[in-house]
Amino acid sequence: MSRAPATIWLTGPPASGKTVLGALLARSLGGLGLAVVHLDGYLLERELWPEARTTPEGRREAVRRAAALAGLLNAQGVWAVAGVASPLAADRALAREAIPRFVEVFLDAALEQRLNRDSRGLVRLGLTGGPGAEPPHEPPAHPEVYCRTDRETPEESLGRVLEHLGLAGLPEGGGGAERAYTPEEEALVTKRLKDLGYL
Amino acid sequence: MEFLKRLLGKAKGPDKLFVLGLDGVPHSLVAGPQGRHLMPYLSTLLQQGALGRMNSVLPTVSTVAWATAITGSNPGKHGIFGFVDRSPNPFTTLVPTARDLKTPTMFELASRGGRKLGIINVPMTYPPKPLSGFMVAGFLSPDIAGATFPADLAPRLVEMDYRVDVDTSLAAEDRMASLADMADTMSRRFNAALQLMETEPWDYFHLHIMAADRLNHFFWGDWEDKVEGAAEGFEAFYRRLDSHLAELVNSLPSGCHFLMASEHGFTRSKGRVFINHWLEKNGYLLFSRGRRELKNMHPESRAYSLVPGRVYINLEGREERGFVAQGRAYEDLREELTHRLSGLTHPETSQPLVAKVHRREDLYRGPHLSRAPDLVIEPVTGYDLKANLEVQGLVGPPDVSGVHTSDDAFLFIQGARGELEHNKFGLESIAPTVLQLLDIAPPPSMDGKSLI
Repeated sequence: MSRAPATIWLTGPPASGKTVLGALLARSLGGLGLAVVHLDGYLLERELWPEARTTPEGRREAVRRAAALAGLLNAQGVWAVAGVASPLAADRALAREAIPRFVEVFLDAALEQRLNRDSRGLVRLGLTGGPGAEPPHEPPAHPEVYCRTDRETPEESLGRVLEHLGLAGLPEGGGGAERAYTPEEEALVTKRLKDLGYL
Repeated sequence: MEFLKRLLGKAKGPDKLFVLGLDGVPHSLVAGPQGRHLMPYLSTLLQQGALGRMNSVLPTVSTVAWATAITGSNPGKHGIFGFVDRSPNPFTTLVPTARDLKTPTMFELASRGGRKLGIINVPMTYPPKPLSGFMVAGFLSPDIAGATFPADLAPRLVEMDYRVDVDTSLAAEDRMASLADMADTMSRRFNAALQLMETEPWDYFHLHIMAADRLNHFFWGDWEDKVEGAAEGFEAFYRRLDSHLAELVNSLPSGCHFLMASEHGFTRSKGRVFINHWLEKNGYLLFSRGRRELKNMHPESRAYSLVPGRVYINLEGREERGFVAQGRAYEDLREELTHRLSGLTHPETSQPLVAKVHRREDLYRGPHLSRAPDLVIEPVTGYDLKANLEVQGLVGPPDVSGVHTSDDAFLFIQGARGELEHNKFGLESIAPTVLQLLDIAPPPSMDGKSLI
């Protein structure tokens, strides 16, 4: 796969590890010198469309908006890592249609494992069927990448996605992430470290 | 259905948690008679929970240590190996920051878990990242203006007379002024924290006191030698710390968990050991004409060092002008250096200088192992391993009076029952323990396990 911008669409049931893998992916792609934005479903929902969770139409509209946003970013040269719940296959099919370079990554994990990680209570909510509960997740038939997040570490899942993208094992550009300091600031911090006997 | 809800649901909202980081305060001090004498409130507090002596990391420096503590992962996963790091090709050195962390911190995880955070001065948090709540980054922030999230917190901190760090240059110029500056910087940080605890919503507050490390670096020896003025100033600092601690703990909301930790211990400095000097004298590091800097080393150099005690092989295919072939030649050189460096002794006293030389794969594991130094030298306690090139001999006098120790950090969990078995756990336990106290399941990829 070339370095042309794509959208990596992370789908999976609640607490399957979308946020953690999304953050790792965004960091790795950024480290390779690619412009990348992490569209975390939880933050999108909280900040942009808090009403989305309440109805099936709202959830479909949230997927549509996230896909439109990712497509816009791709069109302007920016990679998108979209960790959006999108439990329904039909909704994801719409996202795939809207985005020219769409890479679907399915994160799968056993219920017991997801209950252990259920910091937001969404797995429990799904079991009890209360208001705002997600419908059961429909597994993709042919995801580009399939990760068993209860059997592999996030780093291993990351490696699987990077391998699919043809980006595995590449050295990070510029010695790592974008530098935090200007030369003047780095000189100031280095002097502080020398004064402390650390250098 | 109600039964299922009760079984799966929470009886109440998430608990609050306050974490106090005391940089470089040894377990042997807080648990010993001198600590009880200087910090009576702390001594009483320690009776109300579990206190344990905690292992630090190698190399034992604050950025590596706190990166380990806040990610719950070893350096092979979080990717921080020292105050400076190098990019091998082209060869450049750089100061790693929070942007270089390769694994999420407990702050990111807690924020994603819906908790409101208030984070002040923790190392390896510059530049601050957006989170739910606020963050004031640690001592590697160039200034306050760029050190806060949200950005509009910075002017409020200026109004509170907050300082990023002590004035490190004072220690060499005016010892008594330096002591006063350290105590004052600590007080300002406590005062800012108390104000923000009142005005900002929070579920998890984390305050880090860096000035204790500075005090121990510059005055530990004076304290042991009972140097007039300096020793009293050293003790006054800890008494003041104790009174701030009392005020802080008494202001915590009812039922708030309280955890306190340091990341390494301290001991009197015995001297500096110049590893690059030894490598050069023994033909491993070569320079031709021009400035004697690592980036100008001769292409036939076989090894070089970065502080403290990190040795890199000038490896073909990895380094800018790699000379040592991969495979057998690399392993043979590592073995030779391990053998020779392990035997380093003080030229005057013949006392050993090196406790052990570690291969990187014996210390670290994870996807960033390939960026780790090929060998890590663990010094005999009290020796400070340096990388200076313009020096006269293998060992030089100390440039600071106290240096870090790797087995004497502490962890205290108020209200915890049972014991924390001394030196049976390390810094990587902090993040999972914090997350557990916040009722957030630690990710299985963390190396540490919750101590709760």
